Amino acid sequence: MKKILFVCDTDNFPSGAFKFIQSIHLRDKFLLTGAFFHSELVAEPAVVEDCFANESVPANKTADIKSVKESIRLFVHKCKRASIHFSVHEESSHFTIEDVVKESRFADLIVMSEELFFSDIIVSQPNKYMQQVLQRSECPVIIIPESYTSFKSIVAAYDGKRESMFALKQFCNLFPQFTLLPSTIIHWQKSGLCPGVPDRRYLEEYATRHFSILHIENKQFKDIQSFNEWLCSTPDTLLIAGSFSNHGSINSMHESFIEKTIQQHKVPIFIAHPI
Amino acid sequence: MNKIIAAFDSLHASDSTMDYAVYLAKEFNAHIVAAFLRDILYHGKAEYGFGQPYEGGDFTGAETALKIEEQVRNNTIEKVKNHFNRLGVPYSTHHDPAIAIQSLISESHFADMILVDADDNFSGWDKTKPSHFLKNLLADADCPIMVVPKYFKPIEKVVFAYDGSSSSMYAMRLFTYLFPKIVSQQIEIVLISHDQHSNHLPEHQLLKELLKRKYPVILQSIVKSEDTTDALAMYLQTQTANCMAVLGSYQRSALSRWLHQSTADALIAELNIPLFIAHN
Repeated sequence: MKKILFVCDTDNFPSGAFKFIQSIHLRDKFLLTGAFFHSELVAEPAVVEDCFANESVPANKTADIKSVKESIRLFVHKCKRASIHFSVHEESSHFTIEDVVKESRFADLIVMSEELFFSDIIVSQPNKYMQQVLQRSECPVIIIPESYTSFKSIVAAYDGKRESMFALKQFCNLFPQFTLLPSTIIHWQKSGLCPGVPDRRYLEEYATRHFSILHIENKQFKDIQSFNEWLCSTPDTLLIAGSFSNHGSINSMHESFIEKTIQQHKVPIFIAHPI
Repeated sequence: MNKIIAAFDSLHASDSTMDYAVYLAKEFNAHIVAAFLRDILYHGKAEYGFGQPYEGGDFTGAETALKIEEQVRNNTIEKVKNHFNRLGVPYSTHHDPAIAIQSLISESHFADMILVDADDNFSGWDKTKPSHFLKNLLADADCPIMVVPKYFKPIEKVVFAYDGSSSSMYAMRLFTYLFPKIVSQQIEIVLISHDQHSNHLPEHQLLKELLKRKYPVILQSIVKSEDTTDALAMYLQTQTANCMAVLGSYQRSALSRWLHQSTADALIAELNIPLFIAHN
């Protein structure tokens, strides 16, 4: 049985993420720990280049506390109604990434919103808060769009590097029940580059032991945008990606492709990397 | 089904690796990939019947020796295959060429775990334990390594070496994913604490929240000592059940490991128990 960390900030309750939790609860029992984060101690500087902007501006603590309490109340209510084992962790009085790191060290998975995390401070995702979580988390993170309903197939992005295999292995460890779904491991590259899936024989040997219905494809796209269009046109898909590594061989093309996918808010994404 | 690489020296396959591979395949429904490794600088020794050593630039006997080696490799492969066939183990074989360590590290990207004998060294001159081969494997592999002792014993108890660190938790979590059915065995968490006044595991509540969902009963021990490695080795030596230790080791840089011996190195050298070692 797993321990899943449900990440929520102030009153940005991630309803799509909770739907995902409910859907996996039908097949898998787990402890759901709600980790509730307060706002940062300082508000974002309002005006760039303002010489006074470096001054700390305390967030509205009363409103902040009230929002977090309301999110906790909603979480408890929803967990009870869905008969999900739960616990509540209200984190430090202001957001610090170290709280996320500590919680993730003792969790199997983080589930969070693809759209809402601190969106009242920075709307465009992945904002700096989400990026910090994705980079510093010590367990895999799954980000869920608010419009989530279900997924019926898996697409794993593979580039032959250790990060992509790491993510694939972590997914198989955590969700053996989903390996029964139709799955595609896709090695994609820009048009005109040398074709061929790196280490295909080894990849096949690993993946066929874990996935029941598996295709390994080598696809060429003219740019990141066309890959994302293809991905988003595949209905009810969950994407697996080894991204946001703090060090090591970061593939900038791969990285920006995941960021673009996050911006679309259409596909749940399972992200893992070695720390 | 997990894919476990059983690493074999193709000149001398470890019986213990074979036995642990069979055990893991049967108990945990694993698929075994028998990787028969060779190394360009590693050859059979004269005293084991591989012909005369090449001395003083005289390589006249080399051709014969290489032929004997090839025969021995074929016999080793047949021996392992026959053993697995006889016991109904699902397996496949890889014949990795040229450089043992490189081959195995490449294999590790695409495996759930590697099984290797603590005495394997792929060298005619390296007498250290753990060997340079094993140290490099532990440092660079992309999957956990189970280092097994010379003689097989079924695992009766699992001891998690815990220090609150990221790597100890990573090893613990990975172990629970790969061996979810190990609930019948005893599970213990041991902390070697430098603090003479504390009787608490670091982040005790968070740890409990994670593990109580995985194992119904977990023993806890805190050993107070200034020397983590010695205290852990002594603690594991005194276990009456056949235990396996789970360690998050080899996270540090090569320089740091050179300056300070890894706990895992000392345990491999001193103990005769299987060690599950992982780092992220």
